[in-house]
Amino acid sequence: MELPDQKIENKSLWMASTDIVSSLIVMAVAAIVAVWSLKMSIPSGWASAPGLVPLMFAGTMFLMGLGLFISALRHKGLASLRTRLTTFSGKHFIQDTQTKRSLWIIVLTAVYMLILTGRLPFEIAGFLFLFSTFAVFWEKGRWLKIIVTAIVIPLFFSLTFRFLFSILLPGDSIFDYFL
Amino acid sequence: MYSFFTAFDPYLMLLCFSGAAMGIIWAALPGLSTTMAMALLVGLTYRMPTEMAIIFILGTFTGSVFGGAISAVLINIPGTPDAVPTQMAGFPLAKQGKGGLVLGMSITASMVGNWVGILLLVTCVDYVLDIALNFASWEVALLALWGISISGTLTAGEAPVKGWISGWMGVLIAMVGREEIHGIERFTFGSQELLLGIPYIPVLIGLFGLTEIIMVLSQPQPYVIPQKIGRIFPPIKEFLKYWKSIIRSSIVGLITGIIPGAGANVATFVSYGLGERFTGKRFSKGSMEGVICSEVANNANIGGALLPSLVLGIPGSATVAAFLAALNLHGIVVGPTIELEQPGIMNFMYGTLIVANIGMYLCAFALIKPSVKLFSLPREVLLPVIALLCVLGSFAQKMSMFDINLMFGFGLLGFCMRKADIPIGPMILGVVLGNMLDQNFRRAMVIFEDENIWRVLIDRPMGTALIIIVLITFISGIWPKKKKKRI
Repeated sequence: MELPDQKIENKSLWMASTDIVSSLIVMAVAAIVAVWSLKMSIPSGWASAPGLVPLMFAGTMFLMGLGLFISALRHKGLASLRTRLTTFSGKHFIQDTQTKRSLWIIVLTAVYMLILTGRLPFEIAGFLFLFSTFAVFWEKGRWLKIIVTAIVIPLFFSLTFRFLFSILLPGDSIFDYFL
Repeated sequence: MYSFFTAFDPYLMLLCFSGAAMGIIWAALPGLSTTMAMALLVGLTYRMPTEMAIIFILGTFTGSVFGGAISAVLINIPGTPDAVPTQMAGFPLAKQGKGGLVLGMSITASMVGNWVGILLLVTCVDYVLDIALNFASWEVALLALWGISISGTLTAGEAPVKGWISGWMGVLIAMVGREEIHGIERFTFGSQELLLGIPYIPVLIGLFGLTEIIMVLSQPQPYVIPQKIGRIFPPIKEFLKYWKSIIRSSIVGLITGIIPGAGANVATFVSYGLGERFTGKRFSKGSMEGVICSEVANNANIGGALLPSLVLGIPGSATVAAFLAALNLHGIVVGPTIELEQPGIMNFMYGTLIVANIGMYLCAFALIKPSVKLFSLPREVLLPVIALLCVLGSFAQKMSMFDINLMFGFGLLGFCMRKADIPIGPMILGVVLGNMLDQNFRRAMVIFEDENIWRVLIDRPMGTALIIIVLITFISGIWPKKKKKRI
């Protein structure tokens, strides 16, 4: 069993290795933005150049990324990252409950927001999303409760937003076909 | 002819209260902002007589400024960007079962903030406008920079650099689109959708709403907000204990309100930051004082923002711009001649603000219990339902599917940032203030192009003071860490 001090040290090592990766991403993004900013046209001098502020912010962000990288190195981030990479097991990662739940919710929201929304009427897309998320995360097996809730909520939102606030819904509403 | 007492007509008061209730409910829904509420309700008031329209819209305005705090405290998703500091200080307390009291405290703080704003509007119009008019491009740019950097310092705990990185990324995101000085495209990659820039609403909903949904549902046993809320009305003694924070936050709210463009976003973060600095406490672990600092500043900002808008015709924020549009629809022209063209209208608005404040207070207390009941539903039920609202909120502003895709992208980005312990609050502030900072900074650079730098520092004392404050913010963000290491 881990002692509290060990736990804190492990957490700090974990975070230091994460900081190594984040700082590298930050520096890469900052460098790319800085280069693009330099390439922007300068219609009337540097003082009003469109690339001036992005360049300044990208430059200082690069320095902040560098600071984070150095701080992570001091906290043994590189060694910790090496250990994490060598001991990484794809099988264990996938089998972890939290990972599974994260993947489920990301996939379900991606399907709902990027594929179903806009292609199906709002109420149908909403029902499919709610039904599937309730089935995965809520009370498994209580189908009637899940189905009724998944039908009622999108209908309620649709009526409220479409008719009370006169807001168009993504993918239109089934009521548009009937009324 | 309008007058102060017209606002106290029972029918008008009822209309104002219903506006306040609608504003509170609207802003409590994640992603449905105050500005959007105002913009939608402008259409509803078209057929109303002018005084009815004004009282209804101001009621909605006052209610919606507070409403963002409800979802911020109870589900960790701020209804509006201004409610982010309230979320940071209030949500940890709601998890401990103090949701009702936190909301009670924040309603009272909002009411006090509103009173201060009204008092200022009535008493020191000329004096305050003198200060506001000293804020030119240079000072506004520095103020925006301060807002972003202080939010970075506040939200990142022991590694402020992560908060600054987040804020800086927000500014870079705000740079996307056609810039307004020369009309040149920046970082659009030929996309038509990106030409108008990245709107902050999908960013806010993605970073806070979707990220929270993914984070919480990925936990095998998501947290619950206790249904028993206990006491709602805050003990007056406890509230008054924070009198120093109340006064300080009122001043911050007012001053940021009258500076065009700065708005409540800067006010709440600055007030929260100053609160931490003056009290020496960390509010992010849950603090009533943190909630008070944020809510007082947020609401004192209303009076402050209305001041330059009505008297000079310069809207202090996007929300006030929507209010001005509503006035315009009814033939009221704001500006220095407002009192000449519509005698008594300012007095009527003072009265309206008082009624709206009372309405907000009563409606907000009436709505606490149902809100806590609703938001204490099991997360497995509540959060998927909120995902539907996230889609509606992202879509409603521009009726664009692209905004829903943006919201999803920012949701994933927020998830990765939270995993890497990078705070997301500063990013939203960067997105909101980025364009203002960019335009004002470049305008100032053009003005100062041929001037000696020392001359600029001496001639613009307010700007110089802001430079010093920004430097102090950065240095104090790094300093405590070094001190700890030495120990």
